[in-house]
Parts: sequence; C-alpha cells; structure tokens
Amino acid sequence: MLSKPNTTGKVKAGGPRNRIRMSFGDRAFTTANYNIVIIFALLCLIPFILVIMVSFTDEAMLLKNGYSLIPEKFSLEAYRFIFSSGSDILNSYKVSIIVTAVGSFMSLFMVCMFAYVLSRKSVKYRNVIAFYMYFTMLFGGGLVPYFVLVTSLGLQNTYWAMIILPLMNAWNVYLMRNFFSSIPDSIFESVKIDGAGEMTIFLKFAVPLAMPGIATVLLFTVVGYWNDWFTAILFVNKAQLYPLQAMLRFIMTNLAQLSMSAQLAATARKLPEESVKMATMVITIGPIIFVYPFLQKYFVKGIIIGSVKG
Amino acid sequence: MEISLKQSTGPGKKKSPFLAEMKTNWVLYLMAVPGIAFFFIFRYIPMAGILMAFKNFNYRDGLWKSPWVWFKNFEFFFRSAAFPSVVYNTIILSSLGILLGTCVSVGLALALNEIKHNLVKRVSQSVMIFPNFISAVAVSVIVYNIFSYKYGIANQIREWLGMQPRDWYTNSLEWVFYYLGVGIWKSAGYSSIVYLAAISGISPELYESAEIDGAGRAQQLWYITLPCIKPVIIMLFILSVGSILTSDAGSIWLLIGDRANLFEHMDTIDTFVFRMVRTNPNVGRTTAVGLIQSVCCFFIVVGVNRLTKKIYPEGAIF
Repeated sequence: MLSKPNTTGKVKAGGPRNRIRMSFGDRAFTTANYNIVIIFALLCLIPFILVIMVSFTDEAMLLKNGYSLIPEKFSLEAYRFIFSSGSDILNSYKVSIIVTAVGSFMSLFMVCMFAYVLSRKSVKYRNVIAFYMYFTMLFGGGLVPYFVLVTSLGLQNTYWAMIILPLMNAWNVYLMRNFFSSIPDSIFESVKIDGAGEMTIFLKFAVPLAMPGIATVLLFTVVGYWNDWFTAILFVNKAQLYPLQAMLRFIMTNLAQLSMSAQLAATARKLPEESVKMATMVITIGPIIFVYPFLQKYFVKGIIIGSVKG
Repeated sequence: MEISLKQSTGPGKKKSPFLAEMKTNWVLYLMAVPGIAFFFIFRYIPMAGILMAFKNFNYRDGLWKSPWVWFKNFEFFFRSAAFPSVVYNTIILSSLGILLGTCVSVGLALALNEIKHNLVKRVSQSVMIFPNFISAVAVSVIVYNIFSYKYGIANQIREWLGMQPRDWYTNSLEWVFYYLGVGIWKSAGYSSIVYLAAISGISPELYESAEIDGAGRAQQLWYITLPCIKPVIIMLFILSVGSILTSDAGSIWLLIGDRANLFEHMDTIDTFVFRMVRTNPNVGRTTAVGLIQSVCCFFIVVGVNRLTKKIYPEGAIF
C-alpha cells in the first residue's frame, strides 16, 4: 500500500531520485542509450565542422597536411575569392536567391489555392480533382518525355525553368489540405451567408486560420527550391544561370576551368582550390544553418502531420 | 405551354448536376485551375510522351509523325547486357536501404526516448535532423571530404595507423555500403521523428504499472514501447516497399559520378536512364526503359496498398 504513492511520486519527480534508485541494469541501459544518441549526433555534426574549418584553412597548409579539424594556419583567402566582385559564385548566389524567392512565393500561392479547394466539403468534385493529382504520384511518363516537353516549351536556360518546374508537388498539396481541413466548415458557411465572396473567404479567413500550416509548407518549399540542383543540371548549361547548387557541383568537378577566368588572371594569384570548394559548400548551406534553429519545430510538425495521412 | 417548357428543359436537366455545381462553386473551381493546368502540362502531357517508346523518335518529325517501331525499343533493353544487372542492383540497393534505414531510425527513436536530460535530447535531435535539409550536392562534398585520395580523412586515418593511402574509388561493392551509409546519415534522424511521435502517444500508465511489476528500462522498451509502435513501423515499412524499383539517380551520380568501374553494383535503372539522357540519348529506347519502370512501379504501389489495407487499414493511402 505504501509503495504505490511512492512510485507515482518517483515518476513525476523524475531526475535525481530516480537515478539513485536505478538498478545496475537500468544504469547500463541508459548509458548505452546516451552513447548511441551522442555518437550519432557527433557523426552528423563533425562533417560540417570539418568543412567549415577547411574553408578557413590556409591553402598551403591544406596541401601539406590534408583536411584537419583544427586549422594550423587561419586564412580568409577562399572567402575573399568568393566575395570579390564579379565572382561567378556570387552571381550564382544571386540566381539562387531570385529563384528561391520568386518560386517559393508562386508555389505557395498555387499550392494553397489548390489545397483549399480540395479541402472544401462544398466542392462536389474535390475527390475527382484529388485523384487527378494523386494519379501523378502513381504513374508518370518518365524522365525522357519530361525532358523533351520542357525543351520544346523553350524553357531551357531560363530562370523560368527553375521557377516553374518545381512549382507544385502532390505531397505539399496534401500537407496543406490537411491543415485547411482542420478548419471547421461551419466558419466558411456562416461567412458565406454574410455575403462574402469565395476569394474573400479564402484570403481573409482560410489563410489566416491555416497560418501555422502555411509556415510549415513555406519552409519545405523554400528549402526545396534552395536545394534543387537536378532541374538546373538537366535544363541549364550556362554558367551565368547556374544556381548555387549547380555551381557547387561544377566547382567540385572542374574548378580549374573557373580559375582560368579573367577574375583570377587580374589578381595573378594562385587559386586556393580546396578551400574555395569548401567555402562554397559553407555558403551553400549557410542560409539553412541560420534559419534552422527557428524553423525546426515547423519541420517536425510537418513530417508528423504528413505521415499521419500522406 | 407548361408541358412543352418542361420537355425542353428535360434533356438539359440530365447534365445539370454538373452545370449546377459549376454555377454555384465556379470561383472555387477557378481557383483550382492553375493547379489542374500545372499537373496537366508537366505530369499528364509527358504521359502521352510514352508513345515515343514505340517509335523511332526524331525531333524533326515530332511525336506524331515519327515512324512506329512498336516493341523494338523494349527488345533493345531486355537484350542489353545491362538489363539484368541494373534491375538487380535497383532492387538490392533499395531493399537494403529500406531495411537498414528502418532499423536505424527506430533504434534512434528508442534511444532518444530513453534520454531524460532535456538539453542533450533537444540538441542531439536538432543535429541529427539537420543533414536532411542540405542538398545532395552538399552531401557529395562531404563524401569527397572523406574519400578524396590526396586530402581525405579516410586516407589520413590510414596514414595515422601506419598504412599506405589507397584509392577509395575502385571497389564497386564497397560503394554499396558507403551509399547506404550516406543515405542513413542523411535521413535517419529525420525519419526517427515519426517513431518518436508514435512513442510519445503511448499511455504512461503502461510504464507505471510495468515499473510496479519491477520491469527494468530495457524490459519496458522490449515489452511496451516496441509492441506499441509496431503498427507504425509496419505501415511505414510497407509504404516504402512501393519504391523498391526506384532509386535516386541524382544522389548515386553525385557520389560515384561517371566512373564506369563502379557500375557493377551501383548502376540502377534510374542512373542508367539518367546517363542515357545526358549522353546523346536515343529518345525511344530511353523512354522505353522509363516506361517499363513506371508500369512496374505502378503495380507494386497498387499491390502494396492492397496488402496494407488487409494488414493495417489505416495505413492505406487510397
């Protein structure tokens, strides 16, 4: 009888008291779990630290010692090269920002509108439209017809290719529809009786009420556009139009070509190749690192809701 | 008069459910038009492009006028030396990926759940999820960081252990494991969120009563946590089986590039198609390969969904 309140109290208090009473087996088990988690987290973290450190390392040291976690000699040469005016990498940064900004805005608008229609129970054919979209997840023409279509639309080597092609994906629409569906239908009906038009209902009521959902989908969209390299590899072959991801790929394979550019000839310096590669990687993931802490909870919410009903 | 009016609207009324629906909700349908148009242009029109698989396609004659060759393009693929190996590789790579990925994600979720120290839990979780949000190109840079002959960490470790540096890009079989490792590194933390969410839904009373019965932490994990999240594990596992015939051509290409010596175990249907697209494609043949894959995938997904409906009805997607 006495033991019962004691145990529940123990669970609630958690922490130190719990630890004192832990058996040897429990302690070993907990230690093992801490080790697993911390080791995996370190495995995820160390590569990034390594890349950042290498990007700040003096090139001569790199050539002598290879990559190392603690740079023997600090240098900002790589970043100076990247951010010098007229740099191709800086230009790619610009392309990526334009594509991500314009694309995310357009994509979010279209996805929201489409998802909203799919979520309204008064729309009789919403399931037909949903299946119309869902079918594209089940079956597709494959890469080649897609490639031929995009080229014959004249989208090759344009900003529009990178903006339009990733505009909508069924997964984001489903996610967004789930958010809209959680708004009670009675709200729409009562507003409609008050005489509001459908567009007003959408913009003034549905969108503000689904704001947390929109934030989640926006983040997925922005990260999607920022990380999209496949579209660029397939449809863009002009260096001035390379987004950052494609530029990073280009640099990893043939940096030497870039070092022949006028930019370098003017300075008559040797290109710090290895550190430039790593510095480009750092500025590629930089924006994501910066926004990540603020956005993490939305990502987590997104995957949980998405997985409940894909 | 009245009768004739009724008769004249009669045939119109047969269509009218559709028209009436359009009339009342036309704004909403209009709002769906951009989306419908997008899926039509970029998803359905390429489906018509499947015709190219049956034709000797050339750009001058276009899709309709190119001459028919019927199943020649398919024959080419089935007879080519690559056919059995790319199909085999695709299945092996994705099934190993699904299996290992599930195990590691579930394991991580279970381990994370045992961690009561809030700061450690939050920080390590954030760090684990992060790799999921960087691009495949950035991942390939990290791989280069490890395996680069001259500067890579792997060779530095060998040297430190007193061994000769080696060229890491020679053994195809090895790369299967590197590829799987990279995949797990990138996505295991993120996938574990779902399992963690499922674990947090387990009633605490179960653990309390287990504790009264004297069950240790490990026993609680084995007899309560795991059975409780089993449905979720099964559901996600079955869902991912639908993608067993596909592989991420981009990621594989970014890892091994066009090194033909690594193709033996790493060349999949998707990388095969991707390579054909990049290097002066025979449009008809490449389309045929893609079509075979699409059709098989379609039936696998539909079949898997049926199975899910039987085993775990809530997990079915349609």
